[in-house]
Amino acid sequence: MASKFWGGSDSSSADESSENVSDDYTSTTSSSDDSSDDSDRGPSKYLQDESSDSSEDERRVIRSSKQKHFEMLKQSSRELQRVAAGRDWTSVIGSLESFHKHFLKSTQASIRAESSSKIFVRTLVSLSEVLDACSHEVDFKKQMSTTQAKAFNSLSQRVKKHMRALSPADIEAASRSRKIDIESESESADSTDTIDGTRDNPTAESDKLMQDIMNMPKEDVTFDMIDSKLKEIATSRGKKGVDRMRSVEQLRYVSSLSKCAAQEVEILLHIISAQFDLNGSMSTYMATPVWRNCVNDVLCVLQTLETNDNILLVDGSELEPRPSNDEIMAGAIIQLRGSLCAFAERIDDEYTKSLQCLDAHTKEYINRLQDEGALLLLLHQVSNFYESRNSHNAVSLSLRVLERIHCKRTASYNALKKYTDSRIQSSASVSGGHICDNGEMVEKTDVFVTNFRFPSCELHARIESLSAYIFNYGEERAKARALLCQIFNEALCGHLRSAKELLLMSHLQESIQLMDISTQILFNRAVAQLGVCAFELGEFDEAFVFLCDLFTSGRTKELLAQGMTQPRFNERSAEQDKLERRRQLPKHQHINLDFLESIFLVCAMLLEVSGLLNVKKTRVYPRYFSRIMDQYNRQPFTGPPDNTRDTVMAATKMLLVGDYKGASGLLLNLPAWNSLSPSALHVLTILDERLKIETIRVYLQQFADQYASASVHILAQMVSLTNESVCSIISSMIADADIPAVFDSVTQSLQLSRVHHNQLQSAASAFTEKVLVLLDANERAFDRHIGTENISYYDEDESRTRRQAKSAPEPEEYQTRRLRSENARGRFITADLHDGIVKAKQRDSYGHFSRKQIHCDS
Amino acid sequence: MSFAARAVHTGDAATDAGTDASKVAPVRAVELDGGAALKIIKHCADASPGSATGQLLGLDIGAALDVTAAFPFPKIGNDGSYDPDGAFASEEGAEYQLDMLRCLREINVDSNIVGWYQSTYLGTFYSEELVATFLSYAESIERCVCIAYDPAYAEQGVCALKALRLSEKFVEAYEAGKGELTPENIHEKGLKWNEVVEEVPLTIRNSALATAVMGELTRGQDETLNSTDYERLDLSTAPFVEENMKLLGECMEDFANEQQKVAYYQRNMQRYQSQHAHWLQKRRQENARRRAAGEDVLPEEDPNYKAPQPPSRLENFLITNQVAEHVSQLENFTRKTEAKLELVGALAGK
Repeated sequence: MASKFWGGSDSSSADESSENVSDDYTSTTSSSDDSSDDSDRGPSKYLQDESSDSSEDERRVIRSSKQKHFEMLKQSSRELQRVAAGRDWTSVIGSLESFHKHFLKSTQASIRAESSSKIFVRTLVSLSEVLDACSHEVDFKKQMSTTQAKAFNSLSQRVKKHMRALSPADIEAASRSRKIDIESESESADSTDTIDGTRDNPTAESDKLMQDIMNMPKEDVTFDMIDSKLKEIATSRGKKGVDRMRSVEQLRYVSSLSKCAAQEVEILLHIISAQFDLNGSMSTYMATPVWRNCVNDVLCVLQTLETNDNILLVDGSELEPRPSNDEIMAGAIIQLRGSLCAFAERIDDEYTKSLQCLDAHTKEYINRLQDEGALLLLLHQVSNFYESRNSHNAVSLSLRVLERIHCKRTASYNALKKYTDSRIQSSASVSGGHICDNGEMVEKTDVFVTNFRFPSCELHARIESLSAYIFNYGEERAKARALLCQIFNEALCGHLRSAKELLLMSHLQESIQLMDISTQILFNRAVAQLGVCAFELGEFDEAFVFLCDLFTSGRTKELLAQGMTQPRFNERSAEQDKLERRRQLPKHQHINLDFLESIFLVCAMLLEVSGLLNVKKTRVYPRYFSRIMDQYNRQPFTGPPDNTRDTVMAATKMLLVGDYKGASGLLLNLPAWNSLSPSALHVLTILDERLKIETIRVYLQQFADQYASASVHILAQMVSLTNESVCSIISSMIADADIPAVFDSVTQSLQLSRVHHNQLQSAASAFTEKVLVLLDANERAFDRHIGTENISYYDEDESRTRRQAKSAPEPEEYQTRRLRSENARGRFITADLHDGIVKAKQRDSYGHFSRKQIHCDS
Repeated sequence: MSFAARAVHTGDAATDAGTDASKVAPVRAVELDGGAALKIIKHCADASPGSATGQLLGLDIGAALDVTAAFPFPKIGNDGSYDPDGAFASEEGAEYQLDMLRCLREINVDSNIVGWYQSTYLGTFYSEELVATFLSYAESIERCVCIAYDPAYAEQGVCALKALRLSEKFVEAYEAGKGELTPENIHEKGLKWNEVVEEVPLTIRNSALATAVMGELTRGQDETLNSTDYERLDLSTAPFVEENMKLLGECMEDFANEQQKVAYYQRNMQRYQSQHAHWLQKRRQENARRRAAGEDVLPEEDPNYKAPQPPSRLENFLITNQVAEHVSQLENFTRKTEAKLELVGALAGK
């Protein structure tokens, strides 16, 4: 070699180009020759490296710019052909343009003008051939979209333009050589002069192999061939630039070729994981057909596993050494890596995700809901499969089943069961069992491949058996969740007592704060459902207690995971937002919030409406209702009510002036009552009765001062009740000392006796009231000072007050309950005054407590 | 109520009283001249139910303080003219006071200021204003009294005149706290709630001539009962007790307000302490690090944090006094009423 540096490179490339125009620089055959020749050529051998094996691409490659242009030209030629084969015409135009640009550049770099022009011509010819073939195809143009059609037309025009610029002889030669290429390509894989030198590309290579197997008759494919191809596809998994959809299709085809059960299972496992790979991000959901395929595949695996004892699925631990292929064929025990439990859970998660993402008001959502049967079937079967093998997995799967079905009513569960069963039957009659033919994905995806049956027992029994299983084998969290599901379902079925007993026996309400958020949500849902249940049974007090916490917090949506609330004070980070979005329940599981609110407000109204009049009465319940009532009263204008809250408020105002008819008209026609279950409609009549009673009570409390006597008959007419029931209401009010009155049974009327206090008495009672307040505040301050919030102390005081109030013989001059309790309080003060004085004196003599003294005291 | 009246030095008259300021003995007794007493009573009763206030003049000789004369302060309206319902004038009042003193000296009346008088309603005179006025008088005269007259109380047939002064303990504690009554000062002086204002024994002294006239007037009249004696047996007890109860209720409200202040202070204090502890811990860690690194140690006092001010105790003391006042009035009154009721009951039962 005369030239020390570039010479070698130049001459060799010149050699090659003279030898062969379309030489592939990275082709294996030429490089092996070259490198064996060049091994003793000293430094210049590195200059040859550009033509050496591409697998050693860590080595530095040095090329001249001319060569680079040439390379690029070839590259774009390849690209163009690949795209043309894909028939994506818009992108073909793009690559044709870049190809042309590369061609012009490489012709300017004159050294390879000849060979590059040849490449150009051949590429164009092959492209025009593709175009011709396409245009001759029947229905080809019809299938294209408008943009594609447009692109196709302009593409063919451009190709013609380029062809016109070339000499006819060149074209002739090119098309001839191309024919030879195609022949040689089909003859053997070893061709040094193919234009598409894509053999170094692994996918393309496997394509080729695939092509081989696909073209082969099924009988000729051996176990080993399948095995090696499977490995190939598996290694390409997760690599950049691998078409994931395509590898699924390949696997699908390969599985149809499988030789024995073990191999089929292995391939299916690969298919399932490949399908999970199809969608890249956590926030998007798996496409429904793919999801259905997945379910089918898992069921297939399950079926095969159950019939073949020699195949074991292992996850986590080390695998046993794999037996040889022949042994596998013969049915030796083989361990495969994979977990049906994980698959089933993933499928379940994907299902939830798809429901979260879909719009609940579309047909798509409804259709998706039908898949729940398949999912339940899958979960059930897989958990059955694990029951004897791995109780931990069985518990987690059972819990998932339970969480799916706990919010269903019996009717909807039965409908789902019927639907799924019918689908299984129809699919069993239609197809024999397998899903693949001729390497294409089967479109009839809602066909079940298995002969599994949906569990036959009733919903209630199912839930009980599931939770019993979880109670036996599960850990704390699973047990808690199962219990909550059970409570929810009991409440849904209207078994208030048993649901409440379950809740109370579990003591969950004490520890729920320590649980994870999704369990807390489940707890909230169960409690809300208990509230609904209590309401439907006419237990308004209990319903109020159940719903109270949920509504007084003002974050109902968030607590039930039924929608996001705008954060008021601090911005949430995107991460928190995403988390919360993931927690949301699918729409069909929601408890109607408006319905809940109606229940809560109505119950609160019934309990608190008499309290609204009498401010001084001791309160048992939080002041939620009176607070929103105040808000309502503060509005400058109150229009006709249009939402639930306003309606209840307006009804309350009517009730306060004794307008029973107006109030009941508003309350009984709340739109939310449409959500009442049909069996619970009678609760509205209970509600009506209760309203009547409250009307009488409120009316008497409010206006008793205005009357000297009241006729029972008129009162009964006012609310259309019988005289007897009015009598009983009045009697209970008198007994409770709510009204200062006596009942005259002869005239059937209420004789009101009023007690007026003189100013001195009222001044004295006001004084005691104030002293009480002061005393309370003082005790609290003292407790804070010595550092103990002694709450029980107050409770004691309260109860003592109450006890005294009860045991106090009724003084004649104080007939009303209010005064009675005040009287008791007054005495309570004098009883405690002694202590008070002692304390006051202590404080005075010290002037001020110092820390040290406090320690001595305590 | 603002007592605009300021002590005005009138030169020579004041000198014989306050020659040696450091050894001034506190007022142990007040002798009120009969004429001045009548003037005060008349002024206050006329102004009732509004308020009235005026200047006390007299001599400060010996242990007792002689109050020999008094003149009322006028009420000035917005436009400067006399207005019976207006506030007591502030700047104009001083001028009026000087004019009045000059005129009185010319007619040979004692023109030495010894304090002021004011009307009250059922003993509601314990206020911060009272303390403030006392203190402003004390700037110019050492021995100073306030005579309070309660027309409503007087209706119950008692002598409702009272002479008051600030106790020395209180003044010391107050001055030690620089105008604030802090718990530390109270603790130090051993000040108790009932030691803020002291009542000074008050005697009414008439001149010999007046006594003689009185003797002359009563002489010769028979000692039988007259209609005023029957009035003393009036059994209507309600209004007085009722009013007192209402006032007691108000006092309790005031107490509750004070209580809130204390609670607020406690909360603030807790927050402050936790913050400070946090800061101190950080600073100590920092110092330990510095010590290890051989650097200078940072001071452990925090310049940024300031402990919240405890609420003033003065108001609290005054309310307590007020309550005590009401209670004692009630006690006096009910004792008498009870006796009357017993009497009437015994008579009726006969």
